[in-house]
Amino acid sequence: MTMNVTSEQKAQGIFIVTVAGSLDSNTYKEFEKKIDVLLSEATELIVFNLEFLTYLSSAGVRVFLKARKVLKNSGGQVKFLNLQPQIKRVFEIINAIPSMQIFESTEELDRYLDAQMKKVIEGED
Amino acid sequence: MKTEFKLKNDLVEIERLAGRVLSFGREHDLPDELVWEIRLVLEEVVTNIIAHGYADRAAHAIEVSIVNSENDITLSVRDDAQPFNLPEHPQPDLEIPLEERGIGGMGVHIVREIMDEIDYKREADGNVVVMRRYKY
Repeated sequence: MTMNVTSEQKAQGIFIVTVAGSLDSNTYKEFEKKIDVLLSEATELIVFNLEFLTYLSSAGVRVFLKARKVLKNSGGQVKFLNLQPQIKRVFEIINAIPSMQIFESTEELDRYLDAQMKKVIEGED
Repeated sequence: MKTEFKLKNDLVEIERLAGRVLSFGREHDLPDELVWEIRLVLEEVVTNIIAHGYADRAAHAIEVSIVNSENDITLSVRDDAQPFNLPEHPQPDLEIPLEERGIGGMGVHIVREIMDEIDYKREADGNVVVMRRYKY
């Protein structure tokens, strides 16, 4: 049951974090270490891509909640992409879905990011 | 119809637990959804014991059994940890926004949502929790 994390910087302060495999009480610490590095005031948005996450338990959920809490305090945001049915069910059980911002597809995320970039460029003019 | 195994009180054992559950599921041809539920419930219960059950730093054994019957799956977890009455543990308030909610109790809540019956017994030297999931 391995877990693998990759992080891609899309723009200044915007990261797409893809976590694959099993995020459980054995692997969450390694995940948390990698996420902690991104939890600075310079981070505006982390999008967790869960397309390849096959298993999630409450230990993993805690890392997502912590990231959201820390970023919220510095004006940043956490969003989610591609929730697989069993991952979605865990979030449903703890009643997290209503307060989560979820992109249903990469296209939806790209449209959102394009709009954000446009805003930044227009703001600079 | 039954598998039994012992885990040490170390979170690296969660990987072995998952492996045992997945092979039990394959041997008994259980649906993926049910195997996932068994894995999640056992992980939450065992993690809780390892994280909160012991006042010392000594090695302890946690005994797990999975029984596949015609109408249900029965999971039993026996430990020598401090008393912890899982079915009577206070329910977290799920209406409170996540940021304001205490994160404790999330695992116990998941267990209670998935399982249909949970029995708890305190024995002289530890806890026994027996959980049942109906198949139909």
